Amino acid sequence: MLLISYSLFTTFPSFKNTTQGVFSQPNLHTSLSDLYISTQHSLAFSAYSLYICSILVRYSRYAASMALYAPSSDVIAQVKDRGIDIGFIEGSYSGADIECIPMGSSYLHFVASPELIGKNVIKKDDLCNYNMFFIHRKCSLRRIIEENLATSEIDRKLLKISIESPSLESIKASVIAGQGISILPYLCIKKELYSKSLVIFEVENVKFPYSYSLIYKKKNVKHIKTEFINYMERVGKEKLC
Amino acid sequence: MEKPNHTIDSLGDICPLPLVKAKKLYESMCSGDSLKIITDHSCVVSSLNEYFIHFPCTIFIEEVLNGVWEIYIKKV
Repeated sequence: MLLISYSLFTTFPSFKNTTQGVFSQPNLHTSLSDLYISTQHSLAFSAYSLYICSILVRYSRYAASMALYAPSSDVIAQVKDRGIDIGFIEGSYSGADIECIPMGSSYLHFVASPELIGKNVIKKDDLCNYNMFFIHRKCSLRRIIEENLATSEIDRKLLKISIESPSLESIKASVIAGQGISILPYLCIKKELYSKSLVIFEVENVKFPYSYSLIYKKKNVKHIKTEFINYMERVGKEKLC
Repeated sequence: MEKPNHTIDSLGDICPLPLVKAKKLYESMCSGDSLKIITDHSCVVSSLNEYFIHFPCTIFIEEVLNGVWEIYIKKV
């Protein structure tokens, strides 16, 4: 049986309260044939998350599985302490009991509506002329952005951060409406770039690298977990696009 | 590239959904008709190419954005 939740910001144990009604609360420790997977936001908005789900279908002959979309910090906590087998996070994580496998890398991009910024490249100092929509500080993506801002010597205090939201969709909608600019992962803006509702612009001499990782607890007694990890290592990395 | 008669927007879809949609539409197409499929998943590009290579059609694939492809299939 395959159980998948698409609830944003759904975290254990609160997901039992989801209004989406996909399933009732499962027992996380019922069976060695269950595989629980948690995925962070930006991957959740890409075809990659659906690809992960398709792999779950591949294993569904003997597994009850589930994908939850949560901030990376929650994903890490779920893998460490709350019975989740596999987590997909932004960046990487090092912990004594957690294994972290890099799955791919990309860039974060400055984005705006086509009408807001009339040129392809702007100077760092010009950033303060625009309202900025940032992912909320509880999300790992925000930490990656903050680190990149510091590395690029962009003074964060000069930026006009008008709204912080945990929802990438809300941020995208605000930017598309021409209310400001944002910094977003390429994976979650491809559709908007194709439809030209968003455009990427460069900031002089600034690049924001960004990576994804798979994490799991080293102590493993599940065959299905090993099988899934091996499959992702062997094939899954190539599918990140 | 001439304007296609049909378009399938499969952004966000993974296999086999785009292939199923394309297959269904292809069956209803007349000779000379063309179909454009838009996808953001590389597996879809491979699966469509592998499937339609056995049919009397021409296939043209263009990566229009990094990680976004337009696949044109013209029924001969």
